[in-house]
Amino acid sequence: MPANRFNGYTDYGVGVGLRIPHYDHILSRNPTVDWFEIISENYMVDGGLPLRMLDRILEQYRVVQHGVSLYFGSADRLNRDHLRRLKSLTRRTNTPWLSDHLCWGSVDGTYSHDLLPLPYTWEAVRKTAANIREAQDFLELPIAVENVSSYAEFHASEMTEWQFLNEVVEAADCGILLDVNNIYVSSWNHGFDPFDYVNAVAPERVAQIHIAGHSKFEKYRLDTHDHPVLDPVWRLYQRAIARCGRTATLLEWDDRIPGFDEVHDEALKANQYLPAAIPESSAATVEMNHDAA
Amino acid sequence: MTLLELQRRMLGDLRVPPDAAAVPGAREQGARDYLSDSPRLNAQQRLDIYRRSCWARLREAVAEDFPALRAIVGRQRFAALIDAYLIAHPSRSWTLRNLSRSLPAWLATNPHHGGKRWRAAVDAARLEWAYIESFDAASRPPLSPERIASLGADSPLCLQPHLRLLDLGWNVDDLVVAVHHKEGESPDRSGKTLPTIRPRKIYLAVHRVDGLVYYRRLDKFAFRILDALQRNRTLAEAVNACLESPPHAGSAEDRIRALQQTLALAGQLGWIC
Ligand SMILES: [Fe+2]
Repeated sequence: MPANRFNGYTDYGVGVGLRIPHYDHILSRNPTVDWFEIISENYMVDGGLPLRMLDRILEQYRVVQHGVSLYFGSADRLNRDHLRRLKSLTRRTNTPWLSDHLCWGSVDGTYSHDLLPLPYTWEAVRKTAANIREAQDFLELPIAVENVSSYAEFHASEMTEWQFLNEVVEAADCGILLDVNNIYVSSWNHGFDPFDYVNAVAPERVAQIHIAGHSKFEKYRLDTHDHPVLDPVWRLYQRAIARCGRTATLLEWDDRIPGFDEVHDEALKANQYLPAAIPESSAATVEMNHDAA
Repeated sequence: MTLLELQRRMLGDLRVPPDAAAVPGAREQGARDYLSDSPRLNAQQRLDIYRRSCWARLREAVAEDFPALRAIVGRQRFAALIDAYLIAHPSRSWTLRNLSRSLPAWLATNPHHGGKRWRAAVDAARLEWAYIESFDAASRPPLSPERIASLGADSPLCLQPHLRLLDLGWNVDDLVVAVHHKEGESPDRSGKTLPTIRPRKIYLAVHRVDGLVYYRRLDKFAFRILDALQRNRTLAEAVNACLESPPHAGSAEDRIRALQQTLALAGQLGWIC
């Protein structure tokens, strides 16, 4: 959705994920980019080059934080050291909202570093929502949870993935980062209609959308973020925009990363599906306007 | 199964390497108990997608941290070393950045993973981990030369958090510099041979300037002074500590001159704060 409480009442357009191979290009050519998404963990350090580069990006662009290790669905409690570092980074970036995944990844303090799927149970709804609420209260920022690609399903599940997503975000009162590529990958792997998913998601809670490429194997699809966006994913994106309206959109490209222009051009293809922006939010180059909300 | 039980069970299964036959003691439980089959893949095959991606990510993260260690032990032994380390030390941090932090100490107590040049391998691992720590550690405003000149014997001193001090038994710093340099080069230029490493006592400072990590060899006296200061000793205590054992050669004037030189160097490099 455009400007809602889950994206800090911002009206961002199409952005790309900030990746190290593009630093030189971005800092030397200052391309016009609506916004960058950063992986929070890459900058949750005490000093050095990562933070220097981030500060230079922040001088010229608006940045939104995306995390990969809060693991809202882990039965463990959230890690306080992690939350403190994350909060300190949000003060630096002025991110208007913050996202992480609807998944689990650690148990008893041991980490898998993977985005593992949850059983779609009421117990998981309660536990996950409680963790999201705790993070949201601690960070004092709206949180959007992202649906992950999955390759396995649990006997224990009591509902569909989209019902689970809706139940969690309702119970946590948080936003959704809708990844339409992940929906497509999971639908292929589990044999459901991806449009049923997109049509069921609460549109008023969608803070942001992810688009990305994936890889095809004989027996499954893998979320690899190393390709351009595939046609069926664009069709899902089109449907999502029809339901949600103009929504902050981000292209993820994480492996076999081509030049910046190629990545940015791929992202900008999203514009053809987006309704026109309201005039005041259409400024593409941004100078220190982190308070755009 | 509760959510906690299910997650314990699944993580236990994921912790078994995909090619588990090679790993003694590895245990595999059936994924069928908690995962369902799909028309194309059975429960175990579905779990294996996760297992492969987990292990690929972890192995790659450790391998990226220790290219010089790989050069010493060889590709095959290095792969086995990584798996043995990951089995002994599952990740206990939310960030992959910390995954390898126990590897130098683990290798120091597991000589069979280091091959013929195990001690050199341990030194290389210590140095490569020091590089990682120095790279993104905090940095504090350094003391000005005037402030350093006015320091008294009991002044509390602190050294830059990004400064790491290592006493090495091999010249692995030559190797680490060459390997890191080679990694940054285009493949057609990366065929150069690596420097030979030999047993040699080296005192090394690993530190950061303008975001880049540098290595600087120190003399023994400077190393001992700085090492004591890093352990929160005062200047007087640090000097005493390094005069006690083994005795520092030279006259009292020599020692004072060496101390002054150490402080001048540390001040010049912004290490004192
Ligand atoms: Fe995503």
